[in-house]
Amino acid sequence: MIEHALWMLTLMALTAIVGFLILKNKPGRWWFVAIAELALICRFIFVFVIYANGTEYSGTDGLLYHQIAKDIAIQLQSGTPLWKVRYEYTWYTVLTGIQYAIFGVNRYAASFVNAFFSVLSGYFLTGTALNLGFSVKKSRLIGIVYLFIPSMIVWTTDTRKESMIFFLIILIWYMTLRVIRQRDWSISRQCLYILTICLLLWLSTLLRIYMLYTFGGGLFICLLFCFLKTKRNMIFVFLSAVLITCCIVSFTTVRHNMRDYHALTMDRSTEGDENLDEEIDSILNTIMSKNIPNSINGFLTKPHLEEVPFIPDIAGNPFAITVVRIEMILWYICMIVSVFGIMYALIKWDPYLLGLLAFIVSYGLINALISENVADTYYRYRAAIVAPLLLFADYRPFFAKIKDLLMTASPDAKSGDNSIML
Amino acid sequence: MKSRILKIASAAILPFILILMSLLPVSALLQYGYIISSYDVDVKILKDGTLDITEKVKYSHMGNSNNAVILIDKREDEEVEIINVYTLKKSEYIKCERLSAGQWDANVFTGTYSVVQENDLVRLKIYGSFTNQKATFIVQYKVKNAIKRYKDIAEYKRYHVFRNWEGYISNINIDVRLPKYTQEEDIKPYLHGVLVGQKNVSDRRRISYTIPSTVPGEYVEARIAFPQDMVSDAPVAEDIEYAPILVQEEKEYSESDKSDLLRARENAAKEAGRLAWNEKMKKRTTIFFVVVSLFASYLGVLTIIRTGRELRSGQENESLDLEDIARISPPEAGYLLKGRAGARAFLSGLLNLVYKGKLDIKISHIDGKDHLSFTLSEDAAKDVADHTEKLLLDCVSDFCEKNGSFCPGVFSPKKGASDPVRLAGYWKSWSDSIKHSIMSKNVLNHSQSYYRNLGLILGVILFAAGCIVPVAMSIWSGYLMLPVGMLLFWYSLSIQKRTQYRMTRVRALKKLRKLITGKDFDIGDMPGELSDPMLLLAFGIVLGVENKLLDNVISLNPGRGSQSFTDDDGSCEKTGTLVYKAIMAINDTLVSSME
Repeated sequence: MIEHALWMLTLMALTAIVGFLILKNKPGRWWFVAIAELALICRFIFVFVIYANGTEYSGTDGLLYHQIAKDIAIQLQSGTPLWKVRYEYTWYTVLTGIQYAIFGVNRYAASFVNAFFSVLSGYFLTGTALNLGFSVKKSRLIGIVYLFIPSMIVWTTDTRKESMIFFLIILIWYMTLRVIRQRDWSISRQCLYILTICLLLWLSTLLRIYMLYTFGGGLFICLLFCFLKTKRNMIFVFLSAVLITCCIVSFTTVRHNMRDYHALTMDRSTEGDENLDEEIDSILNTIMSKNIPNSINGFLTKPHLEEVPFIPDIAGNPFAITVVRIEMILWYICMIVSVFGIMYALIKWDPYLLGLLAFIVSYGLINALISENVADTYYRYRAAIVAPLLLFADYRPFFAKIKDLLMTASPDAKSGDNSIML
Repeated sequence: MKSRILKIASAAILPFILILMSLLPVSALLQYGYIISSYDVDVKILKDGTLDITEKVKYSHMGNSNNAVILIDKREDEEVEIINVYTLKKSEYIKCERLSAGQWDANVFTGTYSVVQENDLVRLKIYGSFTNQKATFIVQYKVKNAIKRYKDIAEYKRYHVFRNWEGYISNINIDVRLPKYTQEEDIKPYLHGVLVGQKNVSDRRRISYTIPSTVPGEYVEARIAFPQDMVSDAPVAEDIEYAPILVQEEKEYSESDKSDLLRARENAAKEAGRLAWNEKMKKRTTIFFVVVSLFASYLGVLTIIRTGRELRSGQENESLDLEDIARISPPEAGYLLKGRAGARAFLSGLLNLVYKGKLDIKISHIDGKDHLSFTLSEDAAKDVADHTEKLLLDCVSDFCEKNGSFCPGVFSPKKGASDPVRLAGYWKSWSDSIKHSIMSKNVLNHSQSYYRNLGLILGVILFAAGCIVPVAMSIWSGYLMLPVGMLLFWYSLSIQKRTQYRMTRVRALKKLRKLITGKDFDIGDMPGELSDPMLLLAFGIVLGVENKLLDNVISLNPGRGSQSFTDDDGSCEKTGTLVYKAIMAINDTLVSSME
């Protein structure tokens, strides 16, 4: 228990330090950091709840990853170099394995670290909102909503890779925004950021194989429009770096990991690279066998309210069922409100928001087409687009704009925005 | 009028959104829980009282789950041992691997199963990649000590479908084979838990149960009494005469109140009715929304066509020739071309003021680099300038007071610097002034305004519906509203770009650009004021052809201030770079300030 307490206190201290660094000079940062600490404590409590029956028995994916991480820790401790470590499923297990090798096997600690990354995601999301020029109040609200979404607490607390995925998504978009907006940075600093983003693209591919293409598509749209708008050479360099990374990672990591990607429904009766075409055919067959509008409905709206009691993990738990139902209603409202936020982004023609939109659409489509048609799977996979979508969830600017357009005798579509100056 | 449109729009959008929100659950899959279309159980009773059971379960719906659950009855003293589990994949049965604690290397999604021992049952969970929620499994298992042997008879008693199993099963066939042949009248089969079902003894050793279907609340319990010497190797459970007890229990069961089973059937019938009604309503709603989507898209396209027609018919034909271009100021020309007054328009405005004699231009050497610099001319009189020009003069004057001259090329978007912020402030006021000047001339008439507003509102509704309807109703046609709504919205939003006023001027400006970029261009051929190199350069900048002018024309045709552009050797190559540098510096400063 002392070990657990040490972990928790260390992570809480880190949370406070990182919070003050990210939200430096921002009003109300004390208050926000306190809320973030509360979110972290909620997650810590949840860790103890889910492992009440023992860390070697709880969960499915989380338990599997924990077991693999233990094996990786043994390999590392026996002198196997990191690049030769044998691992299954996902690179997340390697990360946890490294932690186990250094600090000892402790699933609680792995979960605490996940919770910490989840709270960091909340900070970066708030930072992104602030950098986008949202008001402090709105930015804080976005961060707080993200930190306290119940399903998000569940997904990011177990020893699953979700916490890391959400963190990478938010971090990559946060760093991209910084590179785009911070024109006064030195070239070396901008290059360092670009290289880090390329590295994170590769890491996210190791976590979920198709993330490369969702990120690639989103960043391509964002940087292309940004370059057309600003004609900045550094944006062109950034765009080229992203495209080159996508090509290299496609022909190396993606090709190599395609067969073992467990979330894809593949024919594993044969082995070897020569059967890659068959695997791609298998994916295409999966896509073709689906009713695509139904799948999109499933990805965006499942679990439907009447399906909630049938989710195996919460069946028979009225409190959890009610919480999930409330969350689903709020999610539907969020999606509807976001429609107007998306329209506003399109009117503004803001490259960053357009890129983010492309990322959301591509991620949604890929998951709708290849994920298994199961409510709780959709629920979990969809969580990755919650944070980006929250940045669109405001109908007021759009309606103010429409009102302005309708009420003004000589309206101008682009007044007040930051569209192309040339 | 506008407030009326606003009221109509808000009255239309809000109920629309509410209706769509209420429809979201309608799109849900209408059936929940497992549905088994065929359930075959083959039981062999061995002499030692062990059961050798093979179950073939065909799921037509997996209850929106990624695993199938099969419950196996386990009574006191019984031991259940799972022998094999198979799953049907591509018309071939694949053996599943057992997933036990610590066995993490098995791929859970390619055919695995786990066994959970509970108090009175064994829960078998089978994982795999299932298509369209359909799957077929074969489970082979043994149950030791399953037959209770008494002094007079032996008893087979098992649940094949549990009471609390919330699923639907059709075509249940249970076939029990005794270890030996015997007289058929010595075999007494009983069936509990369902109101409809048949039991039959054949071949002097086979007992078959056929149950058409079960619904949630019903269960299937098979009970068979047969001579105890048939399981001679099984231990005796109790040394008592059990036949009278069994008969009495069966009598009690047959006389018992079976209202719960009736109620289960009633509930199932009601549920089936509800599902059928839901299905019917879903079909109707889908058809309704398909029609609505197509009609709304058609309406959107129609509005675009009608608005376009209104634009064409509502304007008097106006002609504008090259000599009339000088009536437009270069920044206005830039605004008309691009729809905004940006960095190019700003610089062209400065050059226009040089042309008018209110500013002087020269190349200054600042911090080791050459820059274009502007200063107020001696005869600059702000009171004779129009409002837009006055704002530019104020800007130049302000920077001249501080720095001696206004050099756009020296600006850089550094954080905390005050000059870029000041420049952006001047630019904002100047840009607004240009915009208002253009808008006051490029006015929509009443009818055009009406269609524009209608297009904006309808565009928003169509776009929102295009996002919500196809997702909520799972229909392809709904997605059509998305591009139509966006197109209509954009068309209406940029309607003033399509007015006769703008189109004639843009045509004339494009003609000028074509002329400048032509091989035989000679500035001397330009009509009226356009023959002045400075004014032409101002237009050239907003038209994006300043290099062509600088290289080939201005150096050979000196006008007011144009001598400033030539180098010592008469070349304009460097000057072109300076103009470009100034444009980029202004642009970077403005974009950075806006961000």
